[in-house]
Amino acid sequence: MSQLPQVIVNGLLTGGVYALVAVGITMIHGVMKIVNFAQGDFLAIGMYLAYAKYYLFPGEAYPYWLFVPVGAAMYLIGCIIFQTSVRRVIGKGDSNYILLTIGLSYFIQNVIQLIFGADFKNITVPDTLRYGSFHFIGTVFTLPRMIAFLFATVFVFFLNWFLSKTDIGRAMRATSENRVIAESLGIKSHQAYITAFALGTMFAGIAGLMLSPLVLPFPKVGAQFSIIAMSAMVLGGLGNIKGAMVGALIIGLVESATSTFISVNLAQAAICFVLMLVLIFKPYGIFGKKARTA
Amino acid sequence: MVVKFVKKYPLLLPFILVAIFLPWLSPNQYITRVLMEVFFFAAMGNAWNIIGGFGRQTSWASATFFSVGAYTSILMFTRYGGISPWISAILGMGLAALLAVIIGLPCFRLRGVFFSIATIACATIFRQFLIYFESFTGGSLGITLGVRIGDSIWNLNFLSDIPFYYIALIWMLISVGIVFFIERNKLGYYLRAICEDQDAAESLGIRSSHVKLKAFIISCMMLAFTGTLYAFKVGFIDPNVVASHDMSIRIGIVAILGGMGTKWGPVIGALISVPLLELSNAYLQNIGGGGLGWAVYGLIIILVVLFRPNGLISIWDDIMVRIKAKKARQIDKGGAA
Repeated sequence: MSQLPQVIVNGLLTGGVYALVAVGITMIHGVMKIVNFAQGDFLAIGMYLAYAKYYLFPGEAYPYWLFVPVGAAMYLIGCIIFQTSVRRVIGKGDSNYILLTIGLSYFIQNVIQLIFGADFKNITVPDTLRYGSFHFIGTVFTLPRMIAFLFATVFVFFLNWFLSKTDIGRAMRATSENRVIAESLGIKSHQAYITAFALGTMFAGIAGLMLSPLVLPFPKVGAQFSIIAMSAMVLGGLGNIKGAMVGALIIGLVESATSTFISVNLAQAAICFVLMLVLIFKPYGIFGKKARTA
Repeated sequence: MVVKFVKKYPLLLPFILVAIFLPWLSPNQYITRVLMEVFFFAAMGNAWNIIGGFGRQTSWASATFFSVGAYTSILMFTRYGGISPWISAILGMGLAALLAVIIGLPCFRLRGVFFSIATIACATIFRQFLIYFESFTGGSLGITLGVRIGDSIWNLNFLSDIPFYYIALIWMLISVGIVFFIERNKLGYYLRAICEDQDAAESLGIRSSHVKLKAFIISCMMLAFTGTLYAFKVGFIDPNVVASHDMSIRIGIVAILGGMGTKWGPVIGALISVPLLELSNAYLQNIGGGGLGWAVYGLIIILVVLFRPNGLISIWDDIMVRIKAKKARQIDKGGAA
């Protein structure tokens, strides 16, 4: 049990990054009532964009300054994907968007493989980043996790501010409450949708960038993050951004505890197990107030 | 009855005849092998279609049940002194039914997308267990059947592919039969009622979770049986292939592409998607890092969902409607003259 503080620290730090993906998927679901099964693959795109930079301009460098170009590229990709496909399945029933986003996820995985090959990639970060760490009351805070956590926190707070204080954020919230009434009050719901989807994509891509020094990218790397994002979303209660953050932290804790105390191979299974428990016993999420219509 | 059936489906008889005589007509072993794969996937697509098509409960755990069948029979054969796959197939189907109840009971309390998420979670748990309990299942390396010699139906061991071709063909036809039976049975009507509107169906006295569970069990047993046949054909199972999310998607695509909730959809879907994948793997695999064929596969799902949500079979239906309208117009003209 002497490992317990370290497990908690690792779990929370990883959970912070998961929060970034979870917030994205929650926002997309909240605004357009679509569960995006390709969210993890957007994260994979972010990772590969970071890798592409190291491939084109070899040399040791910190990946973090890339968050501006990667973020912009992901926003654009999100817009394109929304305009060409997702737009057409909004409000057309569950099975349509399930099939569409699963097809999308499959497509992205294999396009990545087509471009970069199926093997694991590695980005060359400086040793100070790779092995850097803080020691604090007997626990180790590794540097890449710390930075990722801080970035994620800043972005999540930015999103909270965006949703509650800006016009387009308020429009998104209104559309998510009731599309018809929002439209009758002059809100362009299409604009709200496209912003929500593109922001969700961007957040996933930035999470991928933050994780790129920690996780080796390979084409199917996104699958596990899709599960994590959906688990955090369900755990926090649907459409609840703060809930999704807490859910992601819990998922991070579960993952780190399982990998340390039982087996790394069962970490995914433990997350799925928690997800099943929540779906069955707490279908409205752990904070459960709002009704879920399914 | 038979005459009526043949009249209703005029393309069916020539299709079956071609399928029966093809191994003799064509000396090309490759075509036989691809068609065998088509039959296996058509059977699995039919199984998926029962719960995913008629009931619109999009399950992504098909690979789990497929691998239950595959693992049971291969483990029985290699660990317990060569028990015949026909016996272990029954055991595998039993285990699949049991697992279907275990997974189905909690999952069918959920609706729509939450059911899909739950099936993905269950499939992930199952795959991780397969890899974790290494000493029993062979872990992520999988298990091989080992070298076997001689021809024997009892042990499903053949030198050539042709007997397997016929077994796959027969199994596919049986699975089509099962779909026809269910579609005309009460179960089929219940499922379609639930698919249209679950609350309305329940208010009319249909116990939806009960009906869905029943359909799920049938579907899973069919998948497990296909798993046994497939495992003995290939002679090697790898959890990262047979129990993978990709496998579930491939099974689903067969039905989605052809047409969900239609009787012939999965067969048509398999006839198109499997050879397409084979062709693209043969000709496009060397482009870039590979995977172009699979990417096309993903693109096909997207396009079908966007432009033909009822599957490719709806094209055929459209053509039939147009022909009938044309005939009616001609009759009208004749009457006027």
